Amino acid sequence: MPQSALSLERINALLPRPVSEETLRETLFRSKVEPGARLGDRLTVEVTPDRLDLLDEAGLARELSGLMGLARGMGYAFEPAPLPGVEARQNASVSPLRGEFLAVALEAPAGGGALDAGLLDEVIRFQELLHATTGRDRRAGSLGLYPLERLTPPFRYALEPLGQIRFTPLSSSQELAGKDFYQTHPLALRYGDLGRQGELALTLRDEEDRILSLPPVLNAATTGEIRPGDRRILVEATGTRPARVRELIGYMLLPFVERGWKAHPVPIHGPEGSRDGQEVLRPRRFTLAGAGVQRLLGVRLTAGELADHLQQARLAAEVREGRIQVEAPPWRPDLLAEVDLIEEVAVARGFGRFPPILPPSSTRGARSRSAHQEAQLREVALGMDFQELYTPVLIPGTAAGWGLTLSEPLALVNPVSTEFSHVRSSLVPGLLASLGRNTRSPYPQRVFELGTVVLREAEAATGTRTDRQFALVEGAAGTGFARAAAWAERLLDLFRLTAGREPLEVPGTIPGRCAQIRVAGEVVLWMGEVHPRILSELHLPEPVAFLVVHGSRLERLRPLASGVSAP
Amino acid sequence: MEGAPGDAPLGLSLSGLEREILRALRGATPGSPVGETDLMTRVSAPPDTVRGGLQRLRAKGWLVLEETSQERWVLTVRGREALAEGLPERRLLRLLERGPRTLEEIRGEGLDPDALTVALGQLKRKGLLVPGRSLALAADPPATLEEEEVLSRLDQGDLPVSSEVRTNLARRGLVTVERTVERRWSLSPQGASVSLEGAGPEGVGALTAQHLLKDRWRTLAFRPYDVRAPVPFVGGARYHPYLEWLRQVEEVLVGLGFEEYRGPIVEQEFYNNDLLFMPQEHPARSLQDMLALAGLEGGRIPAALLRSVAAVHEGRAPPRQRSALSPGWQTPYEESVARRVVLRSQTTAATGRYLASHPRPPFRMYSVDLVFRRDAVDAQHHLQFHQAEGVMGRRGLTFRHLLGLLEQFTHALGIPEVRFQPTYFPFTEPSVQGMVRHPTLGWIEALPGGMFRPEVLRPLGVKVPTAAWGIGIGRLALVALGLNDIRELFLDDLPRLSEWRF
Repeated sequence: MPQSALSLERINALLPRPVSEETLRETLFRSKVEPGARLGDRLTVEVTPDRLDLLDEAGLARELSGLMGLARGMGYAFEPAPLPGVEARQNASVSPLRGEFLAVALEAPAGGGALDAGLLDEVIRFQELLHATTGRDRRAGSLGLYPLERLTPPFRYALEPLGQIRFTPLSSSQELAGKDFYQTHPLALRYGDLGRQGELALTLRDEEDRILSLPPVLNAATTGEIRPGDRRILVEATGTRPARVRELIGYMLLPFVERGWKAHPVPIHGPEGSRDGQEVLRPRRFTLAGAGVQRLLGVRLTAGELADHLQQARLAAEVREGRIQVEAPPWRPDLLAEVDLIEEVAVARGFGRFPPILPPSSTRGARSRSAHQEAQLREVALGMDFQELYTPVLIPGTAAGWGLTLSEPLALVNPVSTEFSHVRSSLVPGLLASLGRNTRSPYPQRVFELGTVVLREAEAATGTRTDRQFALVEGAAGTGFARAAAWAERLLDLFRLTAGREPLEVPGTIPGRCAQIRVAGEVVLWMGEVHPRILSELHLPEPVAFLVVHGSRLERLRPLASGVSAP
Repeated sequence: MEGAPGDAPLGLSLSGLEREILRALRGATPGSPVGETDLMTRVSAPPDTVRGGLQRLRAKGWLVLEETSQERWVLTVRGREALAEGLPERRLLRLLERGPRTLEEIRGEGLDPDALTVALGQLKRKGLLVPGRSLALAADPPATLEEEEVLSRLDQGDLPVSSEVRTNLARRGLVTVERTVERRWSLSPQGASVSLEGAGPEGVGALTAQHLLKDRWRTLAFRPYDVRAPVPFVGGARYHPYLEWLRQVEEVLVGLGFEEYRGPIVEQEFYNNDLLFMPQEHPARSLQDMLALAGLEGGRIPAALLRSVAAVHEGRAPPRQRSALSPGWQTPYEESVARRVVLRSQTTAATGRYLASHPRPPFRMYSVDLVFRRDAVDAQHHLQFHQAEGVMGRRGLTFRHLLGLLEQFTHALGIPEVRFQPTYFPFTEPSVQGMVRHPTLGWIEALPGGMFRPEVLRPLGVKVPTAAWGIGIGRLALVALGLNDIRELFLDDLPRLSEWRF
């Protein structure tokens, strides 16, 4: 889950009254925030992926104040008028590279509240978190913040030849040629491809032709550097996914708006016309009916109670003609439909205030039919003194290559390690590996497993079939093919099947010591004696024999109606 | 697993072998333990028999055993091959020294997919690669990689090497620990003083078939045993404790009226994610988090179901449904993504398949089965774990019923305390996390669930409120079985399994 470390002092400064850490932790249990360790003034918090607003100190303070009943309602006023002259143009050529461009202008409250060092730190930290999450590492969208007072609007996005670009990266005093920047700067090496098209690069410039940034890589020194004392800030976002770009801007309003800053739209003129920039700032509207809440949550609440809970959730809510009209601020993109508002009601009310009740039961529980047969096979194995094991479905390539299967194991595209690189198609390699880890234990060693394997099946939509397999493996002096064949006979007898053995060549067995048994044309069992090459690799000191049963085939052929018969 | 054939009960009386062992040890230099291998040469019995005698005398308290174990890092077969043919990263470096190459070109030049994956990981970590469509070297490659040096040193002898590199090589299966144990035996004070001349009355030890068949027992005297003396451990085969515990969980679910359903562990992303309203761009759907299978191209998905699911993802639901549905994820829905084949990351995929079969309400289904995530293995994480999934639907079902069911389930498992916290899943709303109290860890997350969103139910044709939950059951198993490390669920130490207590 996304996480961050937030300043308790700064959170308290945003609350109507300070709260103790204990109260804070208790209250957050009711929210989607998981408080973690505290180091000095910093509290680590994890949030669910739908509530990234809670990774911001202002967002967390809003949530706390709502849940504790210290504040209510949305507390955000939509400002439709742009700041005079503050607008942007988007050159037609940039669309294929970053299809969406949005911006807002932020203005500090009159008489105080300018950007301070603490807010600057918070904003930069929050920006990076948003890049990593909503921005999908800047591929879907990225944000830039600029000192509006030191720039000259209008602004323009364009694709420019690298040769025309001279750029002083943020935190540097050395001006670089565009080509040098893209070839040397660490951020350009990482994100450069997102803002370039061959020898052209995306730029954001102001009216005086100064470069503000090379989106989505890096801002320029001076023109792209916000500082303590700034009172007007331009926030812009570009990206390939319009919804994500809107979310980025919406989230970034939060640290400012909660401190009294005003957000103004920035009109953007593009090849497909002009946009007034209001869409990102305008609260989204919903309607909620009490009947839907009762159907989903199982409690009857009056319209007034519902509106009250939604206001606790820091949304605007009022009752009109028995229904609740709701408005959500731009930093709550998680609210998509009626059910999301109902969850807001449940969270604000507290899950502890929904008494659990037992659901009416009119169904009859049952294990699957194959589970019944599996229980019988396990019982047989235990009766023959085989220890049950549970081995991983993912096996190393070495074990996959032993040739102790009738279906070639599938390889993973992206294994985490060589130890877990293939999906088993037979239980034998895993059981054999277990014997390899038990060479110091007394012999004879008898183990079995009833587990899942994956077989190739070209006709299936996934190209595979998940199957259940049962395998017996014995390592002991004197064991061998005859022992495995005897187990097979025993099982056939128990399952009242009659069939003969046919020779089988499997690379992982001693030639001439492997066989299969078909019933009604299908291979149901196969058995063999493991090749000494493999035993030697595992340092196994005794011979090993095995039997494999294809569970689903056995079940298809001979479902058992009752318990295992006596031999 | 079982006592050696012919083991006699331990008794006061000494067998001939035991007397011989005691004599051999008395003949050794006083105060100097005798190595087990040396002792074998002094006693006229097969080694396994001598070992049995030694253990019996030790159990009587007459012998003292000193064990000295030594560990030595050695190359595995693969390690020796890598040393001879070059590590995958060295082979990739050699190719890139000749110029940048695409992944396809590299595969075409003989580096197989497994080796390429390893090589890319290693070289990226070392900062030796420049990312891009073509791979290129970021710097001149070192003449010798640290791993190569370690392999070479280990091959020449057991030299101390950096544990970090060694652990990395062990994880790659290139080196391993070879353990040897040296056993040395000596007499305890009691063993030194016991009389070997008149040790116990004469007589027969074990009663045999011959004694019975020919009625010889009538004329025999049997040596009495010390009935208080220690005896060997009797183990015997057992069901695996973790799997057995899972079956108890299943019994609880069956008792609660749920029927079992099993889905495939190899799934198309459509069933694993799309059907559950997981956005196709969701970070948890990247190859960083899910395990994908090589060489498989997903086949067709039922067309009507695919259309309905695509519509809710893109926010194109029919007008009469729009009031209840969200505007979707507002990103293009791609069938090619839906068709991709992965190891399922959640048993909710099985729930999707079950609901797609349009069960008639009321219904209750459970699945206790395997899921896979691309996690590095450690005490808390494994690539493979079990989820206990459940779904129930009926008219009038509410969130409170879900809380009631989760509470009932945990109580049935013997967990008395549970409390609920909000959480998030793309496919449920409201979503809940049930927390249970662990005796030492405090409250831990254990019971995630929620009410399925309309965006999940509508395309599936389910018209009743439906609650679902998917518990990472391994975590509860650790609590129940008294384990601290998730890897111990794969316990395959035969003596330990044999001795496992309920």
